[in-house]
Amino acid sequence: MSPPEEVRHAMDTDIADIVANRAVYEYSPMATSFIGIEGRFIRVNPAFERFVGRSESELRGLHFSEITFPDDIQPSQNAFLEMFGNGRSSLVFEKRYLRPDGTAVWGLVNVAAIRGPTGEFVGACAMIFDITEQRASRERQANLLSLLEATIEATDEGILVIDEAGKITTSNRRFAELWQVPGELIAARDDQALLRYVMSGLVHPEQFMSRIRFVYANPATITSDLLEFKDGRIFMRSSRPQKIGEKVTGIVWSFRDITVQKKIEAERAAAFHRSEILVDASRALAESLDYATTIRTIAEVIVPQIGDWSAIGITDEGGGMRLVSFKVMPDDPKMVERVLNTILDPAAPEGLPRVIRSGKAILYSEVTEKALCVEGEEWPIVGTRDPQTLAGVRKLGLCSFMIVPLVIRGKVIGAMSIASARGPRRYDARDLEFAEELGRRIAVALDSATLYRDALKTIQVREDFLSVASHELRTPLSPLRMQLEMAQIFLKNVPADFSQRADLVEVIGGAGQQMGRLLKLVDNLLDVSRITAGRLKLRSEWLDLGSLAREVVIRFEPELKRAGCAVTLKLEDKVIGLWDPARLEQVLVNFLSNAAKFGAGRPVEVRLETRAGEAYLSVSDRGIGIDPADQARIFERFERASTSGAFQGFGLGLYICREIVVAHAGKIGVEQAPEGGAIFTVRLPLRNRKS
Amino acid sequence: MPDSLEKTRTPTVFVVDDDEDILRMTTFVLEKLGYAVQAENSAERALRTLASGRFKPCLILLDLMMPNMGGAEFREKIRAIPGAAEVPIIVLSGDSELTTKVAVMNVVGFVQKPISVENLSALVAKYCRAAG
Repeated sequence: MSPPEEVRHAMDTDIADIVANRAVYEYSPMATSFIGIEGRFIRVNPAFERFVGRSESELRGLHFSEITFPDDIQPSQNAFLEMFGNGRSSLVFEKRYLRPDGTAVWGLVNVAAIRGPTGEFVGACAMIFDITEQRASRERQANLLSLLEATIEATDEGILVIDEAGKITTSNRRFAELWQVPGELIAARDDQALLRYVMSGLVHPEQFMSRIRFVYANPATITSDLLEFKDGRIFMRSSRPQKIGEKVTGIVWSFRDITVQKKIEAERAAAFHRSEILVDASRALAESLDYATTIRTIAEVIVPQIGDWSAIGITDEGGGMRLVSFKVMPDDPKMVERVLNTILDPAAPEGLPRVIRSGKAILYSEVTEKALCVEGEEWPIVGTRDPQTLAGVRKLGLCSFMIVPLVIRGKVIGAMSIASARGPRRYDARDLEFAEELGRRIAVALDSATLYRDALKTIQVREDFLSVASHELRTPLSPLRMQLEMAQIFLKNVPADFSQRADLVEVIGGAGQQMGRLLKLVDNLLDVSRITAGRLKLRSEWLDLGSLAREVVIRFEPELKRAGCAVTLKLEDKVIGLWDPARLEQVLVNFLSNAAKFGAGRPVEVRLETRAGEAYLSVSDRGIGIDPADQARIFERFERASTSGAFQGFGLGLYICREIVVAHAGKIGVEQAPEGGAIFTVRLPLRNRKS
Repeated sequence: MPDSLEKTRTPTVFVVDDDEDILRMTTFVLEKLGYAVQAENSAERALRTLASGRFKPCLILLDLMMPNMGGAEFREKIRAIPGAAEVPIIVLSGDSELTTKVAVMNVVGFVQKPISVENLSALVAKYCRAAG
């Protein structure tokens, strides 16, 4: 028997519903659970089993709190009570389920109360979306956001993000601090208003504006530059695009205060520059010992590297002070002359005189108008009240000024002023320290130049003395010589039988010899003064050196005979050159008289030959010889090989000989003869430079 | 008349030197050699003496280094004195290096001090005739 049509239809519908519902329930990807009145699981679908990692049989009879993450038990129970006690039909909340492996999964719980025919609560059906992934990503996002926020706040850079519409998206506190922007301006989020505000503090606002326009016109570019503030601060500005994919959605501006770095950099550069100047100065100052050159060098070192104008005053022996240098850039000879003619008052309470008296440097970092005024008892800082000079200084300009003493061996020899005329240079303590160091080096250079000048003066005085002395000595020798020669003439008329004739011959002859010696000494002195003054002039002519040597030896023979020396000549013919005969005679006579003196009683040999384009002249004796240790020394001034009192003289002869030979572009020498004794040699180029 | 006077006299050597000892000794030697000698110890005085025309020397022995007026300046000045310009001059000097300076003075000789009697007599004999 089949049920009536309507019943069958109803049954079909139920079955269809049940089948459908069951299918939905069984195969739904949504986790679904039924709990009873006590909150224990009655049924769960496979999706729920997968979700919480437990089978239906394991779950059946478990209280929902047993698989709930401890923190979420209370809210879950509250929801259950809402429905159980307060008649709520459904609730949506998020909670975590505990899986057997200890991990938790997040679910969005949609729970509906199941009620009996009279409305009594009999259980609940919960459908749960697995939102573990969403929750994780949400957490990650929040994390990221907080990280970003913290980072933005933590950085030392001021950051401002502007969107495409020109609205402020983000900014950090450092930005507001750096730009000293009021909070309300930031809150207004209007970039134009902000711009107007920040521009007022900049040294070059137009430049900044044009940069900003460029960035807005080219939002994808990365830019950076430096911003200078009126209060001296310097920012490093940079901009980069904020992008989503390839799309620029805003511009991130960042600002870093690099005032300190810049200052350190500038100081380092300045220190380097100063050390370079010191090196240059030391080198330049070491180049000359001439006083005027040194003064000029100093001025060139200072202006324009350190100052725009500079003056140097020095003390003189009488306690006075005078200006020795004034340099200005660009050069102004008229002004320089006027300043140099300014009389320095050693008692002036300011300027160079003050520093010279006290030995202490002065620094005027910032010179005011008043500093150049002459009012009442006041003195201008430049240390002169001369109206013309002051007018000149005003015209040049003076905005920063320092004066340092020039000290050598604890004594202040002068002072130097260095001025910055119209800026931007302003001197500080470090510049002053540097100028003082420079002052010390300058003082050393000036001192050396002074010592050198004094030494030259002393040498000149000595040379003049030598010249005058030898001249003056010659004058009285004239009558003396004539007297002696006349005496010798008169002696011839003395009868041979005159009892004291022999005594007369002895005395007059001796006097003649002494006069000859005196004359030679005076000649030597005169020659030395000529040599040291560079006035030894040769009167060269073409001559045959052999003939000259023969003549000299013949003339000198009587003296050699008196010394008991037999002389041998070995002279090559036709040794011709362009030489000064009188001077070469002087050399040969010197050699011969040395031979007679030191090789008395022994043979003497004079040789002349040509060797390798040179005339080689030698005089050898068999005397005591010259110790090799003395061979180089004996040609120096005032040197003698023998210190024995028996051989007297100034020790000038060989020195003069050497100078004569050197003037002929030749070489002089001495060597030990194999047989004992000395060989004095002269080598002269046959083709003299003059030929 | 100076001309007739001059011819009657022994030829005179005119010595100009600021050093009195040299003047005295040179005079002594030259006189011993038989010359007449006129000596002056300054160039200015020597100029005046020459300008006075009292005598015409056969030779002037001239020192170079003298105070106020040196030998070179004296040489220039006497060119203006009639009859004196052509008198031969021998320069006396202690400095042998001065020969170049002497060369432009248009003089006939140079004697280096200290003067030797032999040298002096030979030079003077060239220009002056000794008496007797």
